[in-house]
Amino acid sequence: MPWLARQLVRLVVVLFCVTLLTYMIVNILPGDVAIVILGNLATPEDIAGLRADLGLDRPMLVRYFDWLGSALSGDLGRSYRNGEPVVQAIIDRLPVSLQLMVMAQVVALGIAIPVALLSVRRPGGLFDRISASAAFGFLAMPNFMLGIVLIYLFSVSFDLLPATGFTPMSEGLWDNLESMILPSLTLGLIEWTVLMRVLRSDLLTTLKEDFILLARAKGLPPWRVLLQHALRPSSFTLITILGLNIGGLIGGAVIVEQIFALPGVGRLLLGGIFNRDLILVQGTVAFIAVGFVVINFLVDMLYAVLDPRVRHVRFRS
Amino acid sequence: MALFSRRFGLVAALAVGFSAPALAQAPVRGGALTIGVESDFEGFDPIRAGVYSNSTVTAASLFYETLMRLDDKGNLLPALALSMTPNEDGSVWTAKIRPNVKWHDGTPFTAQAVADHFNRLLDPANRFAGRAYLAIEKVEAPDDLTAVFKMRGPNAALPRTLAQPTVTTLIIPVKIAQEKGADYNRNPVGTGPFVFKEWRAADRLVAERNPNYWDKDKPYLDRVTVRPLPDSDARYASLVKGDVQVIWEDRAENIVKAKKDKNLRVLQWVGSGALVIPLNTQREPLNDKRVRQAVSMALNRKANAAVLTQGLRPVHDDPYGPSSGIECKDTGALKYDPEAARKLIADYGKPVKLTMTVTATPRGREGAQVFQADMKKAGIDVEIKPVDQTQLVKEALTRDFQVTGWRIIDLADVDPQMFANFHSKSPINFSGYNNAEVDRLLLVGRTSLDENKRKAAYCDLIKILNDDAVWLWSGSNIDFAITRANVRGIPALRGGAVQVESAWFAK
Repeated sequence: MPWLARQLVRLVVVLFCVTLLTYMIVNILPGDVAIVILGNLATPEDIAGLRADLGLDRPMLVRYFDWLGSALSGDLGRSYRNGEPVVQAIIDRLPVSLQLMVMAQVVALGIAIPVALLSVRRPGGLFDRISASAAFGFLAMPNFMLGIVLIYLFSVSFDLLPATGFTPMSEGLWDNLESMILPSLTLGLIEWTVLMRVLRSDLLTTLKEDFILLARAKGLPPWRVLLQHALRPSSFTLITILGLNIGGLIGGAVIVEQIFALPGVGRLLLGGIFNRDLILVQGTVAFIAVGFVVINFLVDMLYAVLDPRVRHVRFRS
Repeated sequence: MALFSRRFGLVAALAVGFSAPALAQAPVRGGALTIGVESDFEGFDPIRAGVYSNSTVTAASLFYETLMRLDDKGNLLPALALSMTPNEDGSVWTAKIRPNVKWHDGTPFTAQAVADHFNRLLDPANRFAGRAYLAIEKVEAPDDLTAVFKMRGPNAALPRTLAQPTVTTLIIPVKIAQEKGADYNRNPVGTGPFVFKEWRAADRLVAERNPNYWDKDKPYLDRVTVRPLPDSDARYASLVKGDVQVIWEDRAENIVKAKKDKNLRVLQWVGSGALVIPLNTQREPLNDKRVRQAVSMALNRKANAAVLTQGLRPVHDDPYGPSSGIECKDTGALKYDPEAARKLIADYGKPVKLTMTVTATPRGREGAQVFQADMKKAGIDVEIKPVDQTQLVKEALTRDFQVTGWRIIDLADVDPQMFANFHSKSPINFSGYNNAEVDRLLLVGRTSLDENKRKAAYCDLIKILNDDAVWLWSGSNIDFAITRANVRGIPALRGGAVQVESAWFAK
């Protein structure tokens, strides 16, 4: 089977497993969306009536396959809580989460690559040791705490950036960026640590290769050896980690969106879980799962771009 | 008989922060105010939303209004109704509707709209859970300016009940809601001081000054934005930074900090109702009065509240609260006495083991842990059972619990809650309490048009409830808002809602 077809089959299997598992997990959670909607004092008859209206009185698997059928035609259903179409809710929130994750990755890479390059110039040197300690320090810090620290530092103390909230790009690019700087720093300042350590380690291995020795022997300056010869072959693990870290980034985004009051997909999901809005949770998780698998699929493609040997092997198989 | 002549009690409302010097200055027109609330809004159609959180009431009271209003002292004031007058026994109330009021789309507001609103909530087909509290049979509109409330029996509490903004009492245009269908929930139309402009889910709701508002001087502000800011530290930081000018707050650390900050003002409201610990009188061993009394006497309510809320939450010996206007000289409360509690348990003669069902939240667990520690001193073992909020509600309503945590919400009149919680025939009486004298007193409280008689009935009632140790009162309903120092004119935070119709910025 061609490589691309294999990837697609894998995508379908992953999605089926993820959606079925989510359906089961949310179903076994205690609580009931009918009570959430009708309030604490609803009569049992009213609760039963609403459950029937929402179709919640049918067996779980029947509901799941119903949902799956509609989802395959692009209809993720309507929120039990407020009747909003789930696809529309995701589309409305997606730009915020995407911007947050892209900016966080830019922050992470913007710190990780220069720090890794500077560290390997003298492994075990002062800069290397300081950067390693800083990386472990940031890695150990929970993002909800880092977020609050950044708010107090940059909003309250220095009065430079807004503490919370989101401004859409349609209301001005700078205003938009301003509202996203602290949230993306919160995610990026934790994310860079792993990227830096991985890249540093790969760079150290690459720097021992013969072609680096050759480049040095040719008299190329150290920065050119690092940037032009060592960086590219050292970035495979980095790219793999970037792809896999999307999962962690989405998890982090749920918390960061909550702290900074950003109207993103993470907050939509959290609200859905609190309200036992199964259909909203299901649609959002399915969407995130597709996103995760597609991004990792693109990461695999990127190997081929970076290394012709990978391309060759893939085309042969 | 005009209603205003016999307000129910003089209310000693605690309204710290609504200071006299602020009122001495005349209100200034203009400005845009942003309010930070805890959660996003359920929507603005009571049938679709089902319940309104205090965040939603804050937003909804920008564009919706009630028939009557309450000032900070608890006096009734006219709003969409000019007056409400009962018949001889209080079984029929007639509301005179304010003329020349218009909905925001320009159509006239009439008595028929009032009737449509309440009849829609009362219709069982619409499954509006709040109807359990409404003692209304139906509402009729004989002419455009008269709405007649036919009650299920004599009822003294109606005008006050209708005066506090809630999902039930904020009047919506049913005709417009039906025309707009599902969209109405996100695009509300009202008669209120502000006109709905925009709601970006989880981000902000924007409302602008209603230039055609019936109260010509108001509102003072040009624009109000309500932003859901779920993280309390980030919400407080937004206020300190000045991104928002008012926040609803419940985190003791932030309130204590704000009280020391000269750029901020803390508004505090101790409402009616209380945080409570219901005991299931139908279940062993709590069906024995000695065990319930032992639990009551072993619980150090005041010390616990001081520890759990840094001393911010007052503890009373009744669930009425200062804003209800009911002050009982003798509540018959059992005093904290672990030694006496131990003797009662010894007298009972069997080991006592209880399970306390609480919400699986830090607040729920902390409350249960101090309860557990207190009970241990009296020789009572307590197992803590943390569950989801909806599971707790289910267990409470099906009486499938021994001890739990609950709240009697802050309402302008105590009747709806007291009747629902303690009358033997009430479906919400989940302690399974059955006492003929209590039933009689609850009926006096509900039906008597003599305020002194009502007050006396509620004081007699509390003595019985305290002696029988049915529910334990663990703390008052207290709400806080913090504002920038130049924000003026925010009234009492009834039900935790921040209302800004009269708000303005001091220069």
